[in-house]
Amino acid sequence: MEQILEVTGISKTFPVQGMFGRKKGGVSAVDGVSFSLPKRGTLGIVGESGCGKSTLARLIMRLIEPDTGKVRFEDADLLQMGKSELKGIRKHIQMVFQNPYSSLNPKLTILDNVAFPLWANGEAKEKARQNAYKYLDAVGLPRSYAAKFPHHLSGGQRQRVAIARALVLEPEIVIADEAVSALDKSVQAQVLNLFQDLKKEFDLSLIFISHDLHVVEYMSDEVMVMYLGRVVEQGPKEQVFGKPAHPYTQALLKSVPSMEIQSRTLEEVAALKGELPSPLNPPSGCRFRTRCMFAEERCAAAAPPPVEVGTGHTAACFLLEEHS
Amino acid sequence: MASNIQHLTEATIGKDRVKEPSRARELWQAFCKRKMALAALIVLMVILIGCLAAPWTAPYDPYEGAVKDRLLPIGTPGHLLGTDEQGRDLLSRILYGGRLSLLSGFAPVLLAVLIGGGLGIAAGYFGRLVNMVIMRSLDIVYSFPAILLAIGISASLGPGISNVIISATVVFIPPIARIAETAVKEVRKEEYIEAAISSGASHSLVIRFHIFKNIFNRLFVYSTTQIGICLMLASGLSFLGLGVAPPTPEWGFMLNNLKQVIFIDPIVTIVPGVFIFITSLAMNLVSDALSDVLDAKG
Amino acid sequence: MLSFLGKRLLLFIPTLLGVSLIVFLMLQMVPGDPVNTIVPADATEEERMLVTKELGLDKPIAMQFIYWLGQMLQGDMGHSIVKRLPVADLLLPAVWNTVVLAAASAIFSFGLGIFIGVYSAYRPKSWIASVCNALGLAGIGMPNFWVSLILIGIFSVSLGWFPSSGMYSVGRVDLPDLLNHLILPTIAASLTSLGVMTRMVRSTIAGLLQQDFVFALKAKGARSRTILRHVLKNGMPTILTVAGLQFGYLIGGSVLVETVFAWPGIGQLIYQAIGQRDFPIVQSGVLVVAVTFVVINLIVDAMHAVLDPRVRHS
Repeated sequence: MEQILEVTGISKTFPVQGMFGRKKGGVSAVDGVSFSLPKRGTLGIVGESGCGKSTLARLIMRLIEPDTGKVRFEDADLLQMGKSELKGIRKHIQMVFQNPYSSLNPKLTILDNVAFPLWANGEAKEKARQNAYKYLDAVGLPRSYAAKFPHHLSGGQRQRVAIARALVLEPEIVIADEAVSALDKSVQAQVLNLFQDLKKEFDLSLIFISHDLHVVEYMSDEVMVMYLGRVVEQGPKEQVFGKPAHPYTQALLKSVPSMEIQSRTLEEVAALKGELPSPLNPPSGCRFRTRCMFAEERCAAAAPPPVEVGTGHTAACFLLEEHS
Repeated sequence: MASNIQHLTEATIGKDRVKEPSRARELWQAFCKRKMALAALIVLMVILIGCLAAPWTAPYDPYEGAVKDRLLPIGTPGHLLGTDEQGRDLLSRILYGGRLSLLSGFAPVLLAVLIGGGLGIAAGYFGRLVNMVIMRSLDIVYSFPAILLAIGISASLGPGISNVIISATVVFIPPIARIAETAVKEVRKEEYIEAAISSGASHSLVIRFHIFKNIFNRLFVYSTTQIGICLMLASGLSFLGLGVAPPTPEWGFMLNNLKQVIFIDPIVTIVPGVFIFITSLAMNLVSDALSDVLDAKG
Repeated sequence: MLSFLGKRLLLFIPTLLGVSLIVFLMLQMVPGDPVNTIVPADATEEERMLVTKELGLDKPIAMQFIYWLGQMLQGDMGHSIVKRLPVADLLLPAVWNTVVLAAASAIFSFGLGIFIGVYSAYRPKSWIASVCNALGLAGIGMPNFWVSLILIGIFSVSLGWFPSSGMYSVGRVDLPDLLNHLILPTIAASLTSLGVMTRMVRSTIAGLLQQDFVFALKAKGARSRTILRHVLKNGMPTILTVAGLQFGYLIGGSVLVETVFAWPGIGQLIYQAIGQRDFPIVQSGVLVVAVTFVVINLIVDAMHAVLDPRVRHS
């Protein structure tokens, strides 16, 4: 299976300013994240708020500059590119943002919002607009909406516009960063289905970021679980959701209200203790250890490396080393 | 498949066929609801047109007058506003003088918006070093009391209306730049800016289509509030003799001339000032209403 | 708290430097050779070189600036070209006179402004509130030099109640005479501050009256005097800050009123010096006023931080 995108060892720490610009430490937002995206596949990235998923998306696209790492796309490393080369690559990876209320320019018409990326890449205004119509059709918005402004549309409609805008440059990869989180449940389902349809129609590879496990399960082929800036588990969806190996994943899945009628004994429910530690001062070693039921001394000493627990399925926990 | 999507879409959107009035019309209607502002706008228009069309509206040549006719009171037949200390018709001098006064009220603000707005946008958009250099420098200029700065510059450059305009422009650049910078910083954080950058747009495109369109209202409204102040500043400078030279008519300068005859006829002395006041007040009322109307619409 | 003040103080010094630089450069822009104002037209080349050297004009600009700055810091502001007296001797009394006028205007406009503002906030429909509105608009819209002329026209010329110029009558230096001369200029100079203060006090207090803590106090049965005390305490940081800034403007913007009333303040001094091309006075005068303005702003900022804890932590 060809990997269209390979990310290796991405890290980013945001410095915190003290007096006179002295650094008072930093927020370790993303630490040593590696993954690959299979061509025509969907990778779901899931985790709590603050785990670094959105930052990761922006690092891949170089909207924020990473501290270290490699992003390999089509035999080139995005992070090594110069400004003009980067501009040319941009159209291959596009993003759909979370907030339908701030992701569209309120002063441009719907059509112009969608057409802008084409203008930015040198296309003439009118021709770009004609092209934009095609994508409005593709996301199911009637042409009468083209001359309206974002404030005339509902949240779900605006996300459709955002999707159309992301597609207009004909990218190979689309990153959806919490793209449905701000929508009502009923509208969510429609937009998710729209993603599925568009993925087939335009031959896309998707990275789907969400804190909602159901959404990730529905959309993804592969899943990656993040906690406090690090990857704790990744692998094919069926394995990660069916046989979660990492304590964090297990706790996450058990805390999700389920419609399944299954008898669960109290002991099986692994509660997530405590609160998310501050990213300014993440726990040493394994970052999950402060909330982990199984934490041992060695968990504080060093960060656990990923261990293979199934085909293409890895999890980063010292406990798993004994079983492999 | 596309038809499925279409079907779903129409079900959720519904069918609204209401024709929306154009935005300009909405704003105009909101503005007209404010009676005082509307009256102020009319007064402003009358003054503007009257002065701009001075060659046709003025009854006399503003430079001609006989000393024997000096200081005729207001309402004298043939001289609606009386005559000045050299016998020239005051109404004509007000109309002709208004052109220069109004110019020195509007032009500096316009120039300050172009220069200060540009600086503020650059500072807000590029941030960090660029921001620090631009804003700290402007802060230093801003540390001067306005009239003092204007007098200082005017004194250095010499008299003349263009120097008055230059001094006033310098006075207004820092506050306008500050407003622009603050507005740009807010807009910069929005996701559609990230989207624009991620589509490979150049800085100038992002600024033109995304930044500028979203700060324009705030910038426009703020600058209109400064026009009244600028008019007073500029006429103050002329009053001090730093503007036009005799016998050119200009409201501030006329007050200076008439000041000397205040002991003879106090009433006619105040006429040019009335016009400065009314124009400035009308401009303030209009800009206040504009700021209400545009803020409400966002 | 200290770190906040420390930060502000640190900006203070470059600001003052920048201000001095601008003042210095302003006078470099003056067309013509300053030597010509001292030396007669038929002077020889030697004489001109002598004066040039004496004024230090043969050195590069940066050197001139540093030299000038050094002189200023030591209090040596040079000599007036026209009056042949040390500039410092002329400046200090002028500054004092301006402060007198500014203080009087401050007392008048702040006192009246706060009173009218608070009253209008409590009784928004009363006639005083309408006066407040009108004052706000008029104060900001009326050119003070024009108001000065009107006041002179009505109260000096027509009614003869008050003198039309100067700070004292000839030969007298007593307080009643001073007050007599103070009244008209104070009213003229206060107008803008009055407008700003009434408007701002009214909106601040009105905003505070809407807040929950006022309802809580009323529910507790507190007397209206107590409520007023609490409201004023809350509003003080904002009101005092604006008042402080206005005081700065009163000092820095006094030129026009002083000129009309021939009030012997710093504004009048600078203006006359411009007319006489007496550059040492202009330069030092502008510098003194600008520095005073910056210092007042710094004090106002510090005061604001002391009074309003929220500012320190922003």
